[in-house]
Amino acid sequence: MEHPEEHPDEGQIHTWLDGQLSEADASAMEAHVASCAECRSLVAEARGFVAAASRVVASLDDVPSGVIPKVEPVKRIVARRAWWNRPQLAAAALVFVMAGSAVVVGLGEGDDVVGTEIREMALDATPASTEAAASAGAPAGAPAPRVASPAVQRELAERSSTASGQVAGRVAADLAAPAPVPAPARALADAALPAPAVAPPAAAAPAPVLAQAAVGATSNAAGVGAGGAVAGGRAARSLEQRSAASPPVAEVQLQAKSFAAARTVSLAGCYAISPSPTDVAGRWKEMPRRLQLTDSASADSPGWRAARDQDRHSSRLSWASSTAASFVLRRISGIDTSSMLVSIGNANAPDNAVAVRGGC
Amino acid sequence: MNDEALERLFKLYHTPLVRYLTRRLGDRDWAEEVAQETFLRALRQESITSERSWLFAVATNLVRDEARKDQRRRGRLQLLASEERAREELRVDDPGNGTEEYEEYDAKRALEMAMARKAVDALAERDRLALLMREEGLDYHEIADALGLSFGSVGTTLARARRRLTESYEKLQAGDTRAEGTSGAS
Repeated sequence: MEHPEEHPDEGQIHTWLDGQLSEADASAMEAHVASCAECRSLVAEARGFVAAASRVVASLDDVPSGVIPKVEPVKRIVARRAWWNRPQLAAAALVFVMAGSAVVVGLGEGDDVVGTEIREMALDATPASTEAAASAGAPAGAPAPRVASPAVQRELAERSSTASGQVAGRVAADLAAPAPVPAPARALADAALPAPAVAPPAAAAPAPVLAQAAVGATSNAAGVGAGGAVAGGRAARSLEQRSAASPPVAEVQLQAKSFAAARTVSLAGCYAISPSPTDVAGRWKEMPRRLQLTDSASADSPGWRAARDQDRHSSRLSWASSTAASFVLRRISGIDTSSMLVSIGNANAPDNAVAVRGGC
Repeated sequence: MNDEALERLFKLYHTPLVRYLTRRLGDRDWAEEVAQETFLRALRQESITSERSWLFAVATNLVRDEARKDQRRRGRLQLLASEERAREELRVDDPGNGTEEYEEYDAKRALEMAMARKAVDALAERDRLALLMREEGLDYHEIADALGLSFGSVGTTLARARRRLTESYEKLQAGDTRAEGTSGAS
């Protein structure tokens, strides 16, 4: 205030109350207000506005996520029928029974390509679950409904009808039983097969094992949705094409404990990402977590299309999980993303995050 | 920007940025999406001089440029309309016929939030953004940088925003109280 004798305007009073005046101006303001009853009342009124506005703004914070309807609602069919009433799974179960002997042969061959494809497909489809769950009215953070994605169902059905019993048997075995996968791939297999997929011996109850395993393998992938189903189909096809020459696996596991100290990991390559069934006890366990991948480029990459098809303005891929505590990244081919940012946080402590960047 | 710088930026500003955006947009998912995009843009910068104002400015521009804005707004209006309907139903169908306390509390809170949202949305864009940024602790220089204002006009903008927001909210509250009175009398 250059002229302390002048009455300050409302803006100057707010500037003063916000502590944004210079020391000299603040002193002048203080002196003036002390001697001017009119300004004292203006200051009192301004204090009231500051406090009230703050309170009103703060009351906006109780905002649940996903309350705003999506532009294009994702249509999903959540099958509630028992597995034996679902033709695809029933067919796959039948194949499983028929190929019982092939399972043993398949396990012994060490050829894991087909099973890897299935797991990769589940990972590809994974990120759509939150959006789909939100659009289906599920609360944010709730686990995705345990239903096999259309892409996986189709894959199983196609394989059941076209592939040899041996191949289908290996698919089933790979999903249902802990096959002797190479060490680096084991974490991925764990990620794709959450706890419920730990099945009883196949011989005891073969059909439910397959159903359960198939659902388990895709529980993270549930809700690919209308656009996602198409993308899932494409992903399945592209996986089919590249299955013969699967690239070397590169995996990075981010343990929950590292959330507390955010860190950045540089990665070369493109990755699918999936929650691991390995949870940790303690404070992380019950907290809903959200994992987001955002690609910085507008690359037309199949891996991102699942999300883009549902929401073409968004490159975000995300899902929420209340159980997963670690995440596995796996390099997959055919994705042209130049970089991505992965943040892992939870609703209560969103600043705990892990950023991962990677480029192809 | 290198990884360490990004990490530091993320730790420092992610929470306030998401809160600012959530308040601005009324949707946490959308807010987080915009925040992610903002940090990605930061990642592409060699260096940022005034980090907080840069982040808030970029986030604000992203929201402004968002093609879905109008559609989202329509969605929000639908939400407000449904809340309004729920409120009407509460008044008409359930005037003390055994509604649990917590349900009343929830309804009250939802109503307050809807009124706050209406009041905030009724502000002029610049006033709203300045106020929301200030509530996140940005100083006047940062707000001026982010919104392209002069330092001197920030105080005036905030004073206007606070006064209008308060008056608007009080009006909504008064209307609601009158409606409750009418409903109770009938």
